[in-house]
Amino acid sequence: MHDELDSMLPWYANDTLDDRERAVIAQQLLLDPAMRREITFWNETAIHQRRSAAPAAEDIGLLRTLERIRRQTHMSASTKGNASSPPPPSGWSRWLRPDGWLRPAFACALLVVIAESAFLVGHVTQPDVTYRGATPAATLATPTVALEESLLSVVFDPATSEAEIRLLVASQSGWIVGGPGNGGEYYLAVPRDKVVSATDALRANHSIKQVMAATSVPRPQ
Amino acid sequence: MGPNTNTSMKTAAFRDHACDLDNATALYLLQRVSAKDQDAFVTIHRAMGRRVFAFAMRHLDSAEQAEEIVSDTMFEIWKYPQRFAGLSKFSTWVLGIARHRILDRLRAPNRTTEALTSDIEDSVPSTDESAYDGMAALQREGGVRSCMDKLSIQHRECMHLVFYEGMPLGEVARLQGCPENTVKTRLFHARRKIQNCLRLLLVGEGHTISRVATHA
Repeated sequence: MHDELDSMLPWYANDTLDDRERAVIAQQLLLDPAMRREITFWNETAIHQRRSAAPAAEDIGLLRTLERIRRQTHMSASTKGNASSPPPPSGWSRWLRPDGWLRPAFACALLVVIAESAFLVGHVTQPDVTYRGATPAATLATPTVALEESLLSVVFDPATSEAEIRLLVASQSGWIVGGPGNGGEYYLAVPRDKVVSATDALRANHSIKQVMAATSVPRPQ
Repeated sequence: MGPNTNTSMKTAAFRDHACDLDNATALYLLQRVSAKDQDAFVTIHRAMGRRVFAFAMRHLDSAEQAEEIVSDTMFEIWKYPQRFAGLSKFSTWVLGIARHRILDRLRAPNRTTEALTSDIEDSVPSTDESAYDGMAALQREGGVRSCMDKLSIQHRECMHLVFYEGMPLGEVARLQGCPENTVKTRLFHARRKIQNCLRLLLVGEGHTISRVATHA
């Protein structure tokens, strides 16, 4: 029994035992000086382990990984390109061959159609700024994002790191669609059915100064 | 240090990964990574990169190699995000991937593996506790550091997982691929070896155990 308890002391020190095991060991510690020496050893070992861990920047290895992803994406794209063999020339492609007259004629017609379409549709549907959060993207042209989503304006503690902000947002199934604004606020889109719980959870977090409902994402200053 | 002190340590000590990812958040992010969302991937990278690096540095003696392990591990997550089923903690899964990469590297030719020297393991009986208790705190910290560096890789890894990562017994066993009792035995032996190593250090410095005990 004593050996069994001794063997559990490292997890008593790292606080991962269940309540019953913890109570048994705490009781034994009051009675047994040898066990108290053991727990002292493990506590000091724990401190040493944390002090001696190799420090690193938050972005350690990130650039290297993103470069590998970029290479992989490029390679798979080129592999796909190579894998698809050129189709045999059809009747149309013979008509549209570079030295034929039909090809420039089609190009001119297409240009006319595009110009007319642009004139009719206008610039309203063309977003001038696009925010790219953790997807889906929201644009200033549709600043209230999709109907099934709600907007929140959130002010983070300035000491909060980017990684923490990202995780806080992700933990509420949200994504950043704008900001920071004049007051340092970010705009988050969250699923409509989660907006109440997300607001409560964000307000309870010590890294967040303010959470308010928002109706639109202001244009960058 | 009594039990009360230990309880107060828990918040500062083992929950200090500011960017700890719970499984629900991890699954949400991985779902986005499956759709090749780089932003979600960067979130995971920033949350786990430093931890993988610290883990790798316990095994490897080169920061450059440890950074490569971070990149290898994260690239695998990018390629196969759907492999995480939520059966373990997300961090355990990630460190498990890192562990495989590290072991591959250690198995590579031209690599000398470290192990505890036999004189520390065998030459001194380990039942006497006075070597540890007898040393002054500062002297002890330096000694413990030196002795931990001499532990075998498995023992160092076990220490790291329990005391840096704050993992429960079952998670350590899962990650190391062994029964829980083996994990307990590893820590038991690690403790013995550290104490024997401290004893050897004292003897090497010309102390006797009894003299040191009287100084404390």
